[in-house]
Amino acid sequence: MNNAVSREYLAEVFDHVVRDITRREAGIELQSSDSQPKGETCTVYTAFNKGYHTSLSLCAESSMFVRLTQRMMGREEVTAEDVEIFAKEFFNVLCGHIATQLYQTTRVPARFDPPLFYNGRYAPENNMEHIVLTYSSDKNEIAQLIHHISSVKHAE
Amino acid sequence: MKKRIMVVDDSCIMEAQISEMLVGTEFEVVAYCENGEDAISLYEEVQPDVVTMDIIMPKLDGLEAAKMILEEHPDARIVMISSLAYDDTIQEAETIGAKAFLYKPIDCETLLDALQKATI
Repeated sequence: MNNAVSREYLAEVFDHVVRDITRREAGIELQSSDSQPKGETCTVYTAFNKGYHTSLSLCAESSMFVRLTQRMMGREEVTAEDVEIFAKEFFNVLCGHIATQLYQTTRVPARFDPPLFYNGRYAPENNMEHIVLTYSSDKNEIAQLIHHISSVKHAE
Repeated sequence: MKKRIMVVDDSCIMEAQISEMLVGTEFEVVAYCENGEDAISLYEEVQPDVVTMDIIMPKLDGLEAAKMILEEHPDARIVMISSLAYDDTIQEAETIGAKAFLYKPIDCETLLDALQKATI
């Protein structure tokens, strides 16, 4: 992904899609932030396996994933299982839009694995953070979208 | 009698969202499965009026599943619903014989319009 387009362009696409999908799916407005996620966090992650060999994750304070689930389900009472399912679907849509937008420029029809959900901050092995975009929600919850590239390949 | 919809998506959220959107309409969700492989056998059993089919799913993806269903049942009506909207993917869906291609997240109006056109 990073070889096909500039880092700046990638960051621009990521930023646009994260804000747009979060607003459309959950009605949550995100602003850029310099803070780090605090307290309990969760991560949704996927690897791109056709076209690009990179991965993306969204690490956020658990309360934001809970609120996202409440908004998407339209009810206050949600279980941990609901949060996992909705976070994965949210991230699936988000990554689909990122891949589709990049396709307009690269014509690379990338595919990605079904997203995985982790409690805490997850970082794939042998990968380094290439782009980190940090956001604060309208309730001051912190979220980070992280683009990973292979540290092995990068070191070669 | 309501038209019967089968939802195929690895996330059960789509089934819940589509069911909710179809309340009070001429359509109802009667079956759900979470991968393309199960969709093929469930189609035989349910014989729905329309299938909504995700693309990225475990075991067998939606395009392959749609192709196999349409080979066996040329009159099957399949609406693809995906967060990926590449020109060649949309083209492939059309070539296979899908009735429509919807881009997630979907809204009620878009879904109903696609289902109505698929069942004309």
